[in-house]
Amino acid sequence: MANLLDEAEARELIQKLTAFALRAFAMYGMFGRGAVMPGIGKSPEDFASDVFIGYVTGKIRIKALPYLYKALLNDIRDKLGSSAQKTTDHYTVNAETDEDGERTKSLDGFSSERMPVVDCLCEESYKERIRACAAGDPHFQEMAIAVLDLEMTKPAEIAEFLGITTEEFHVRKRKFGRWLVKHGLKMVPS
Amino acid sequence: MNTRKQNERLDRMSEALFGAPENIELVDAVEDLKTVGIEPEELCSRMYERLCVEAQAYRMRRENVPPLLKKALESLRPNTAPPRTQMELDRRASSTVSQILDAVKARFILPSNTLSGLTLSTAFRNKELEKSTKDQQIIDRLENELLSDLENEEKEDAD
Repeated sequence: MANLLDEAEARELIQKLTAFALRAFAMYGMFGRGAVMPGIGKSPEDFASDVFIGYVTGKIRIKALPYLYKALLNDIRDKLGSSAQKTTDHYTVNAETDEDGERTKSLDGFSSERMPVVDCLCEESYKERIRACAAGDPHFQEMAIAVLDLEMTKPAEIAEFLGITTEEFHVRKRKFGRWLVKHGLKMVPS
Repeated sequence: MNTRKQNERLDRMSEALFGAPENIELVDAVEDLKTVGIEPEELCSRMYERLCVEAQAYRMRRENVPPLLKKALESLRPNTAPPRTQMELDRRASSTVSQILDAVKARFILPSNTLSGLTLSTAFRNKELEKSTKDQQIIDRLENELLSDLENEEKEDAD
């Protein structure tokens, strides 16, 4: 098992894992301060902590650093999939009223009528969310077109499409990553 | 398309748009955390507390604490926690003194842009090249006086 704590300092690793969990949450439409996964009740920090603890206790065995991020993302996806079955709506029972004559009684346990959480995982809804996020900035919009519509994935070809150097494209990617978390906050009703 | 393939496609797209997750720069990570109201130092403190609980569970079961867990605990140990050994106390004291010295020194260092704006006064620059004839005559006279004084002293000594 690789000793990542020699490569990256524990403090730095935790901060980066949590930041990545925030971005992963944002990619799946869970934005905002104190965002928790519906039906699971875990925050990005909880997911990142669990993966870090799994790693230092030897429960998660990995060969190199990228696998730790992969494990974190897979955990978020798995839980998102299972949260679909745990999300329910309350239905008002119209026939019955309480002592004050108010219809406050409800039935629980029906499947939610909102967009099923599992749909958040599909490619089309992923693309929609990224496009919505990129909408506020022409540079990010161009990037979204190159990657989501034209299906470009190599940095050199995307940079050429955008008419910038690969170094400039690298900087733009960093900015877009930060924008995703920052802009996501604006998409949440306060 | 099965889930695995779909996830791989999404990963490729995400990587193309935002870069590989392991390449997130620390400065960007810290900014992300602060954006959502997470203080990086507090995050590390909470992690340290969770790791303490994990380590305690191993000790309660009379099992060895995994080496990576020990290492992470050492790295995350907050400075506010009491030192466990004399060496740790010395290291912290030295680090604290260094920080104080750095802070004091920093107050006396002029910013480089201020220095670049400074110019030396030309009043005394290349003074030796501006020796006038009169100056040279004074120097020669003093030199002759000094030599004659020395000669006189030598004669007096010889007598």
